[in-house]
Amino acid sequence: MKKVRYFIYLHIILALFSVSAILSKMAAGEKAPKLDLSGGVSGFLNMDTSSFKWMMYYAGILFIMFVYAIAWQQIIKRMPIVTAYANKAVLVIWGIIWGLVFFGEKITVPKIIGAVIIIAGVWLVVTGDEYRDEEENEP
Amino acid sequence: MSISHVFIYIFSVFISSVSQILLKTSANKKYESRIREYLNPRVIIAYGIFFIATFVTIIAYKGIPLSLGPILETTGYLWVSLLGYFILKEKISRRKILGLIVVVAGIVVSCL
Repeated sequence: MKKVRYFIYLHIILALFSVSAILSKMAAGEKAPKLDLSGGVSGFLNMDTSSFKWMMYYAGILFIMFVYAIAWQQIIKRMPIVTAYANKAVLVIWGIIWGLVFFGEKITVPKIIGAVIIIAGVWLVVTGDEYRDEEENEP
Repeated sequence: MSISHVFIYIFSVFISSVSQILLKTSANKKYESRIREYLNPRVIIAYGIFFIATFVTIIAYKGIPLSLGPILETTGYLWVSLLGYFILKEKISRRKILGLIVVVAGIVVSCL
């Protein structure tokens, strides 16, 4: 049952990581704050709402990446790295779902077919390393 | 969707892959202390690149839909494999090459 538990942890952390893409896309819609050191603290406080939102999104991105990096390191200690990397392809599906939910992006047929092909390809790539050893053992 | 932003995103994935390779070459080296394992030029440059990549990603998202981001992110498998092959002299199995071709094909289909 421990295997199942870490598998669930992996998917929780991947779902969290997918949220950083939403924040990146939201930050893209705002103005990045100008790095004006002459303004000092008052320059920082006079920041417009758009720049403030940008900073909040960016802080969120860094926070998620930090949590993800630590959790990923712990998870791959407890499951085959191949399994972890193969499951990472689920991010493609999260991207399509979040695109629809948050930005009304249409889910098109090529996008679904493309996603399925990518996931199949990722599976071949990550399992490719295991098969290499067998090939090398061939006479 | 703008093609130039697609390439900006791919560039961001590429530099992140470079930083991963840097981290890996650093992990393979021996350091005199635990602190040195983290505070050495390769690790610092790697995280610096990673930091820059987060900005590049945001710029790229100005011109591509959210759903395309994680799709383009999978080019990372290609970059890491190629960099591993040329820099770390890691072998790439036939199965892996096939997989990389399939991934790229899937990315192209998604963009149609």
